[in-house]
Amino acid sequence: MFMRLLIPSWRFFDITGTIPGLYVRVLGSKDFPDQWIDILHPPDLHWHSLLFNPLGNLHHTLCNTLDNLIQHPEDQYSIEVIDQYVRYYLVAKLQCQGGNLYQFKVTGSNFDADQRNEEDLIISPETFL
Amino acid sequence: MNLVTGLISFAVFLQNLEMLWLQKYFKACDPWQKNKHGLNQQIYTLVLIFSLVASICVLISPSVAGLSIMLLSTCWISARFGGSFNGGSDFMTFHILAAALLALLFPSYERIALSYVAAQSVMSYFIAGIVKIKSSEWRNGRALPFFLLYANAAHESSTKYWLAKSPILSLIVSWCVIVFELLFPLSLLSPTSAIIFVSLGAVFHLGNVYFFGLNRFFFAWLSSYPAIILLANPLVTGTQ
Repeated sequence: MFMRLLIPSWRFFDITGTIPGLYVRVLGSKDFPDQWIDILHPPDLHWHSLLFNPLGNLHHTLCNTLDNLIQHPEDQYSIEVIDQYVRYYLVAKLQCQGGNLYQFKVTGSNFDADQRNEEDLIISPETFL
Repeated sequence: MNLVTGLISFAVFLQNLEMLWLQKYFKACDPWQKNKHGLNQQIYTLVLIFSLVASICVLISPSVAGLSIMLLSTCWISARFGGSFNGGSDFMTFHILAAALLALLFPSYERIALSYVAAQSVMSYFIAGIVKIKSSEWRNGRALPFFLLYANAAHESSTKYWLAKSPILSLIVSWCVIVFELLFPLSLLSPTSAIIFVSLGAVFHLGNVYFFGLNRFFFAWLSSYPAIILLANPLVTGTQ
């Protein structure tokens, strides 16, 4: 864990990396369409974000966790982090009630001739909220 | 080294303010809750407050205790978030704090500490430049629109669409970034080149704040710039 801190790679904006996406869907509910919803949006930026941008940096951390998950799909800890975030998003942002069935997926976009070539990388099992 | 220490303390002060603000968010949702290493939320908040106070104290007067607290809290926050909270900015903050602590503990090693900070900063640009020039997508200007349009951290702005939709402009900006990063080691040649390169660096990081919201990177890298300027000055490097 500390190796990354001690020996940073400094490979910023490396095109060989995959850009992650995070989607969720609620199954079998009248209140929610049975479609994947993109839930990875950066918060709004303001002039004061130069000094103080906590939600932006939290979003950045979540993206880093997704990056790690794409590189290590078996990493149970990263899966749990993403699952916790998805549960929070369903309840707090989508007002989804407990007892609903949900599922999330992690996608990866690769650079391909100016287009976003997005593919599903990890699809969670259907789980009760 | 005092300027480097002061700037990194200011960076840590802002980082801790953000982390403390996030405590109210984590009360509702803490996806990283299983990684607290046995410490509860109150102790975590206390560590952040200690680090915040330490950063203010070091800003006023550098101390071994203050720098040690900031260094340990940076390590602990990184561990809490599974390796780092904010990637590169955490890494740079850690290395600058470590160098500042070394310089304060062993004043005769101050130049080594300064050199280390400057080397990390110069390397960060140079390696990022190498990575980009090796990529055909960066060389032909197609990578920049890809990151601006599709990277998760990219914010909505009319400028990004204007930039991304113009292949010629993207090509020019891409090559400006590549050349700037690859030539950054030249900043150590003279005080003038150091001032030019760190000024361009500051503009570059402000651009990253505008397009990607990476505000922590701005202050972390800004803290390393005095080390580059001092090392580039022959009066400092040549006569001591």
